[in-house]
Amino acid sequence: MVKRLARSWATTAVAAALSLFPPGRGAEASPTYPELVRDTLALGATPTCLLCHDSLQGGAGTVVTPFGRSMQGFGLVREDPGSLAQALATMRARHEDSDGDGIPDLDELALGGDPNDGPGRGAGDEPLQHGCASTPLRDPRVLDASLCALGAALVLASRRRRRA
Amino acid sequence: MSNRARSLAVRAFGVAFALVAPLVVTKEARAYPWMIRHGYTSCQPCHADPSGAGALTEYGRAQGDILLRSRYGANADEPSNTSKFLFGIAPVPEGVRLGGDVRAALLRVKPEGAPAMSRAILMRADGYADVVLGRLRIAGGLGFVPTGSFGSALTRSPSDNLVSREHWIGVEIGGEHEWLLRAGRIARPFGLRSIEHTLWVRNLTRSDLDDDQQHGVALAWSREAVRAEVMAIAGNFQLRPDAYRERGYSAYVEVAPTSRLAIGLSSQITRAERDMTFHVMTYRHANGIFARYSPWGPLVLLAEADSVYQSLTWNGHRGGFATMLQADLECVQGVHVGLTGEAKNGGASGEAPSFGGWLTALWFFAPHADVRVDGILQRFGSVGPSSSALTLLAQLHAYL
Repeated sequence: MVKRLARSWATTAVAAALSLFPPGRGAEASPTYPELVRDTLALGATPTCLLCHDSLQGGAGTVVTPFGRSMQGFGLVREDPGSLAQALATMRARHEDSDGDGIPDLDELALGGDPNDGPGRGAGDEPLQHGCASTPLRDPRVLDASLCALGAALVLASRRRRRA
Repeated sequence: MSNRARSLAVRAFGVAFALVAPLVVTKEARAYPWMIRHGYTSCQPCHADPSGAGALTEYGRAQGDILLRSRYGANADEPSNTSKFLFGIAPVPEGVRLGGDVRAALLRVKPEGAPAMSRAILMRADGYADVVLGRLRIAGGLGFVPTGSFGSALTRSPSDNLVSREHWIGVEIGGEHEWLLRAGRIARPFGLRSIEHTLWVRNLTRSDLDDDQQHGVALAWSREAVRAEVMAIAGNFQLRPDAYRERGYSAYVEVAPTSRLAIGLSSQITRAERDMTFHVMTYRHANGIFARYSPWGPLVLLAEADSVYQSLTWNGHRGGFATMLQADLECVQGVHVGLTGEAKNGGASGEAPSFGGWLTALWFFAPHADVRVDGILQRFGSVGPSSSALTLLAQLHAYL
């Protein structure tokens, strides 16, 4: 009896966790800096964290790129979208060219280039990209629905076993 | 419904889940080097990956149930059925290890001189499998992340990507299967393998369990007193173009003179035609020492110190370091309190060192579930003025 209850409780807990935290939920959190940069500059794609940071995860203390340091110099601080907007406005006004390649950073971003690539990199060099598939995962809501259904199925299976 | 029909339905669901889970969710995030308090100096008895993390063996699941979680006075001599995959609902054939892992978090960051920000994060939603066919091993994981983990992404979206952090095929060698030769995408063998992927020792050496895995060939050796692994790194083929891929080696060896003490050395050298950070040809050297020590049953000390040297061709050199010291105290079974100190210097000219402190509470409150709260205070040194930030992180973790 105790084992059944424990199993039922554990199954329900996992099902609840899956339902409460479906993968797509993270996408509803506050917009990140890359998304704000994309929206503010009307870019065609969201830049990765490598625009400013030394890793794909970003994080405090990892801003090392010329563009990232310029943004910090113009007042950008962590987790403050207002400071991001201010820093971008200042860069636009000053035609800042962090990597010294002759193209202002924001113009370079708008053209799909890398404001950190420096004068030594050829124009034909590809930027860093991730993934193997030919197309992105288009609708994460399908995934959310799948996991919610999975959670519900776990609960039902657990209850049926308990009744038996 | 008859018992037979019910049994068939439950089994069908289990099989369906096992097939569907890897398609929708990614890789196990358990790697607890403080298990040395129980005399476990090597990782192989409990983990499919001989260097730790990855799918759990049946023995690992049993030990997790007996030793890891709060028992609330119940007999802890035998593992309960709930320790098995999917709480024992779906039987798994012998030689197949299945798992799933969901970790959700609430994050609140208060930087110095700026407003605090809070957000919810799905840190991990992974499914994985490890199949043993005689001496042949086939393992892999598949998952989903709403943001980040680009280094392990299979899809190309700026967000909401499918990821595969590990996938490899290997063969066990030796009379006691003590050698494992494998090829595929594998976690870099370097330093302490822990779940705190934002520790500076993991960041600066590019050896976290999040998306720093590389494609290549690795040979691991594990016995009671010694474990070691060396990997020839061919690059991360989930990033492109090829110029960004690091190539070289990564390796460690750890010796355990007693069942409560293990000391190891790590080394890696890689070369990238165009480094992800600096965009120039870069040679990265990382070398370090790490140790695990349990002077008293409830207490485990973990330490690591790494030097990192980067040669940026025609753009100078950087010599930096990262170090950490962690104390884990298991007050009663399943309840842990941790204290971690860390420091780093990226090696830029004139860069001041950074310092951080973590206070952690971790409770394995039920089978397959734990909660964790971290308070992290960090002082970030840089070429310019330093700044600090206070982070509060609450996590709920469940695994199948």
